Amino acid sequence: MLTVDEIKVSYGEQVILDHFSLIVADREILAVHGPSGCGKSTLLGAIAGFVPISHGRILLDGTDLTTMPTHRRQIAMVFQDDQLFPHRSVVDNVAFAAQMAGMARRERRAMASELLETVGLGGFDQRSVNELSGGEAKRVALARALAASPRVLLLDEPLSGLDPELHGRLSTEIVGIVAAAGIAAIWVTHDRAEARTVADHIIEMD
Amino acid sequence: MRQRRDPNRLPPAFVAALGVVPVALVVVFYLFPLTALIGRALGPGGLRGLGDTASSLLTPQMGRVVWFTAWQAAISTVATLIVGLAPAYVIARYRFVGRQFLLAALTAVFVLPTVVMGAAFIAVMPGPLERSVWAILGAHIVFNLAVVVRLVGATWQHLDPRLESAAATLGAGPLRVLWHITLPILRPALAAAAAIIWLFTFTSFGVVRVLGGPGRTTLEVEIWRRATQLGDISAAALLSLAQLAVLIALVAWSLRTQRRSQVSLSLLPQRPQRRPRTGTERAAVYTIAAATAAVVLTPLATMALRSLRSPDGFSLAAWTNLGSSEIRPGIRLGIDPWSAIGSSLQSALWATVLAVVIGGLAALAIDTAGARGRILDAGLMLPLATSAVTIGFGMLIAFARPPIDWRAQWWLIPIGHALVAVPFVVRTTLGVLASVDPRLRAAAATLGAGPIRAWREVVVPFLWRPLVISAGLAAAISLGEFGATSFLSRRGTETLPIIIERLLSRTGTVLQAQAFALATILAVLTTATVAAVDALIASREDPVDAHRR
Repeated sequence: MLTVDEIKVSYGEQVILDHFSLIVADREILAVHGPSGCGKSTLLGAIAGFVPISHGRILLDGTDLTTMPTHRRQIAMVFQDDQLFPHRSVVDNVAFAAQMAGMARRERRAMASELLETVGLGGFDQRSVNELSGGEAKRVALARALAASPRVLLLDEPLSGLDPELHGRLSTEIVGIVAAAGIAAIWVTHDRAEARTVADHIIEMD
Repeated sequence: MRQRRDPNRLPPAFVAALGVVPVALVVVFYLFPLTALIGRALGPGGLRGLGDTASSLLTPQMGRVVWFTAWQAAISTVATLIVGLAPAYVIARYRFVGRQFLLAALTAVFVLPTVVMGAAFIAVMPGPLERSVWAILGAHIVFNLAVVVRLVGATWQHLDPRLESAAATLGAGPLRVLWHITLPILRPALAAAAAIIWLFTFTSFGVVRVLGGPGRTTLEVEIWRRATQLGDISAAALLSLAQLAVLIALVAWSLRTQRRSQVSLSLLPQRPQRRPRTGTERAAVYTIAAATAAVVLTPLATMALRSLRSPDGFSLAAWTNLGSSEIRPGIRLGIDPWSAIGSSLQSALWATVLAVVIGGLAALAIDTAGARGRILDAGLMLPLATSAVTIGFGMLIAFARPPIDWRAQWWLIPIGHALVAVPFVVRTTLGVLASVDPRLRAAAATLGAGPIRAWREVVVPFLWRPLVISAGLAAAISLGEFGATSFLSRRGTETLPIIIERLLSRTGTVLQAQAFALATILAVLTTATVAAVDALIASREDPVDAHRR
């Protein structure tokens, strides 16, 4: 269970999040809905730990994450613009977390290959990430996040910019994968219909 | 409540470790020599002993030096802008056969050693004008055309031609469109180009050492003459200091005005070049392109040809006796050309390694150290505002007394060259580092990479490209470096530019042919270095660029 307790984030004078709180249970998808610029991405950054907070706490199953650096939090994220590593192949993007954990090259590539199959990108291993379509890149980003075996998955507009057909298919896929992995997820979107389809609960931000 | 400390930041000790070598270089080989120079300038022999030094400086002859330095820089700048406007337009707007070649030729000429350009103008100018104001202005124009074509051309590519069409529909003829619409929009780029060209020509040393003479002396050459020919160190130091103050003030002023005048133009996407449509258009484009190529390449081609001339006509002598230090019975160089080539290559190798390692470390430190990084950034840019002559002169003064009498050390020259090159390495590398999205590091962190690991995995891999580019640049700078080397050069280890200038300073067809042969070799070496780097870069895709697409 992830608890965000009264956190505050400001950039200079501008307050982005003012004493904001939420709770997500395991196996649950919480949708955060609101217009663009309302601080949804900032919220995810604060939970992941790369946006500094000036007040409040973030707890995961009772452990205080507030001052813990990002790489120890076991919180993975699918960035809105994917943030795939442009100098690495598809498979080495997905295998990144395993590499950080010290897994040998052959094993982690096999593991990543399998995950690529799961997201429907079997055979994409050696492709350059710069040649992927929007939907393919999104699925690589998802596989890369899942490969970290996170305890919480953060999804920042994971379906934005996709065509309607892909939009529907991928949203179902993601929901299935999150359920199978048995983790908590926060799904940020500006699309109310999307929020209703995928989430167990919805939080409105403005 | 205060912002909590970012738990993802790189450990301060790590950032400090990156910066320590660059800081040491700047302190020992730049700030300390500069302090020594200031000490000499303001000390008993200099400003404080007002009588002697001041009276030796406040002479009509010094007035003529200052006046010449200023007006030749002004005329060179204006003339380069005027001459460069047409090729800048043609290259920015049109696609034509030879466009890439013309652009490459202009750029190659820009990185040519100053001494080579001087030699080329001695070769191409008719006898009485060989060493004249006209030769100096010509060399400055050809040298700096690339600045106009690149800077002004870049803005021109972003300028929507429909603006000009709109003006035309309102009754403006082509010239009035140019005057009322195009030039005002190009003004920031023109000003930036003018500032750079003025800076280069005001501190012109190599070209003026070769082509100048009594009455055609810039401040830089006067500093060198007083320090090394007349032994008047204090007066030379005072002149250096005065020039440095003027340059720093002007660079600061031009940076500020540039920042203020940056208009929203950069937001327009770059427009692709098109083929000339009508016959007239085609004729104009090709005439301008051909004329530009001729202006740029004729001096160099003439120089290569004249290396084959002897008093008795055609001769390969200049190329066949490269191994001998005796150019003509009785005239010895002190070093044979092959050894000079060896010295040049050795200096260039070490200077490149030093510049790339130190510049790369510095760029990483600046990129990661926040406010303190900006101090290092400014510190490393100082050698750029300081002329190479001042750098070499400062080192000569500072390292003259035991226990740090380093004047005879072979590594002093590569370090001097590296100091000149480091600012370019830092600029090139920082530009790339700044374009790496910080969220890539955040992404790596969410996948379990600690701060140092994340930095190594997603920032460092982007370095090879700017470092290769700057290695080429550093090698080219070192190969042609003449200002600092003039002070640090020792008998027996002279580099090519020193030898070439020495040969050209004497008269006689044989000596000149020898100089032209060596200048041709130096030109080829420099161009080949830059071309090799270009080829290497082109053969591998840039991850940052690919990403942006």
